[in-house]
Amino acid sequence: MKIKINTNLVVNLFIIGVIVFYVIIIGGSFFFTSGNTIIHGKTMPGDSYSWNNHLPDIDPSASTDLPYSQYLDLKNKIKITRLLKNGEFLGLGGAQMGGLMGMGGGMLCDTCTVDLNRGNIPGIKQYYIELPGWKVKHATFDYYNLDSVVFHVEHKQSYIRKAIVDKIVPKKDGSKNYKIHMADIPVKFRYNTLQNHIMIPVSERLRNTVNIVMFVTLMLMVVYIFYLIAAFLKFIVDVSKGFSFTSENVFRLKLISLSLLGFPIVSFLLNLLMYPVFSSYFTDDVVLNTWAWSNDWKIIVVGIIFLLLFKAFRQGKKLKDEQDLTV
Amino acid sequence: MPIVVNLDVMMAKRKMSLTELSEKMGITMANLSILKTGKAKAIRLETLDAICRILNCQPGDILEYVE
Repeated sequence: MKIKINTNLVVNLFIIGVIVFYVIIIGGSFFFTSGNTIIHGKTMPGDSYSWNNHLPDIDPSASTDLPYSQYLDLKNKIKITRLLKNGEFLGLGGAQMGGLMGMGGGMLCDTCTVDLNRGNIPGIKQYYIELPGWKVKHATFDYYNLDSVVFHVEHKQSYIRKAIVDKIVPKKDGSKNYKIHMADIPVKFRYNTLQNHIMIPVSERLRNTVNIVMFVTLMLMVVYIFYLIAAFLKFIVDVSKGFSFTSENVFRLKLISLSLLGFPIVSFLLNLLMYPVFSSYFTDDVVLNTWAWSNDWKIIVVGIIFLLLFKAFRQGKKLKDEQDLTV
Repeated sequence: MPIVVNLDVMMAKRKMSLTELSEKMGITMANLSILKTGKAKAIRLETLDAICRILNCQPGDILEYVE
């Protein structure tokens, strides 16, 4: 049975659907935003928490009794010391492949302090494979709420500090009491706390090898992108000359549309592939970083437009061929 | 395609060349060649009318359906 589709109805339903979706999202953000501390979205008004232990602070805090300039200096010093301990100080550059993978590094020192005025750079170089597509869930610099996870390195061992619920005791009024303890859980990955993504520590030799592979891949990608741009420019020139419905133009549009649609999909799949590749480094707290492809929808929209252009030009070429062969 | 164009047969019967026919019909040799070689996807009624008039034949003499 052939189903008749009313185009106007479909378009109107789509627009209404998008509006309803946004109303629900925006309205929901007003109604469901809670000022309370949340443990995995389960808390209710009246819930309480009991701490079973208190771990020492990861870093000393700057006293607010100090004069402001001294306070800023001390705060800056604490931050740099932390970056040195985490092996992130003075980020060392390397090849980057967008939101997929990159090579980076930093100075690592567990006991060093930095005097910026002297310009000394302490520590040893530590290299990383950066994975911008993966981050730690609820990662934060400081300890803000019970869901927060703080990454830190002590004596060259990475930890994530987080609250763990030991027991939930129901109360008479229906609310709950959470028995919680803080724990430093050792992990194998390192973390870029400034850009919020996972890093895998590697040796200098492996770093150099991966750097070369990535550089070659990047060069090939640059060549391919130039080819796509050239194809698009040739398409524009041909259309302006009146040679619109040619097999070359149809091929160019097909290539551009498939490339634009394929790039975000391949990028996403490759990001997913990182999980099995580095599974020994990942923990339950590591999640996909939506930031890495938050702009990919724009590429997909342009890809869809080019796909429609390709379909239209293919139909146009078919009609032109038929017209050319009509005597 | 099961439609066969027998233009070359009729032209041979009337001893008329492609050049002469194209001149009398007022269409280009290239277009007439497309028709003669069977590459044409469609034929206008006015083209068929001109061929039949000049070659003094019926449309069935030019076009034939074969299984």
